[in-house]
Amino acid sequence: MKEKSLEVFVDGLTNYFDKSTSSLAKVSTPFLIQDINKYLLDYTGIIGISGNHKGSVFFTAPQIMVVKLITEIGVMTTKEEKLMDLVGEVSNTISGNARRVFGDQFMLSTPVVLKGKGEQLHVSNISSIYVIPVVWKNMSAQLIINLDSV
Amino acid sequence: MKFMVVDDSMVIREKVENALKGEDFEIVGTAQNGIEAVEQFKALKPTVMTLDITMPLMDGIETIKEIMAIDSNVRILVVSALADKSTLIQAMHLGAYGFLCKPFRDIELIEAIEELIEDIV
Repeated sequence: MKEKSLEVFVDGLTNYFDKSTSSLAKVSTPFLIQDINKYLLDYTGIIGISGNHKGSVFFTAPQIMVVKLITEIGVMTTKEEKLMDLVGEVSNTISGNARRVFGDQFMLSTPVVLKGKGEQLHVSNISSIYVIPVVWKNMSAQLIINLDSV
Repeated sequence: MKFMVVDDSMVIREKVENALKGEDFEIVGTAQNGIEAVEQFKALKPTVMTLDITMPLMDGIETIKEIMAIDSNVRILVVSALADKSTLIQAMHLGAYGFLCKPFRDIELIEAIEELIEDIV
């Protein structure tokens, strides 16, 4: 995936926090990584991509941030199933917004959500893995992009 | 006015329900996929509904087709993250009345719904 194509994900991440919360998030410059497992946090929402791209989009965040985020959205809970639902929805929203650039052949799976680091994740080592860091209310999360155009 | 909320995310369903508190709607049903939505639609006959597109078992596009075949007077607001024009055009062509892109602010949702029903209130 070309670095230029990452802009739509940077914009999507910025827009998500802008529209969903009362304070802006600071999204930093994406960087390349080798091992995704070192970057996974407490909850990770994963969207599988097929069609004109193949790979995955991950949103991974610490529990404290997910609890704060769900509260800002107006859902007062610390129930795990809702925290997991939210990280899946964040990854789904940002991935869906990317169709503005990639078109309707950028096909999304429904979200899969991981808690903790668990088993080692194996992703394509052919396509690059980019991390897009985000800081919101002094808490750090990241969007991880592992995509190839087809 | 009878209202139904359809989204596979329970957080989004709850966000929509919370945003509509104090508005003149009765939430008669919520569903997490198209199959549940069609079943509930037949039983509850809502006037207005919000509908996600990317859902398991039956997606929003198929759901619009099935619901419009049951009652084409229903007002459907598609609430989806899919930000491409062709999804919007397809949904509207099938009978959806409006489209709101996720993420959204509560006020944007309320304004979109008000626009949806302005000729029937």
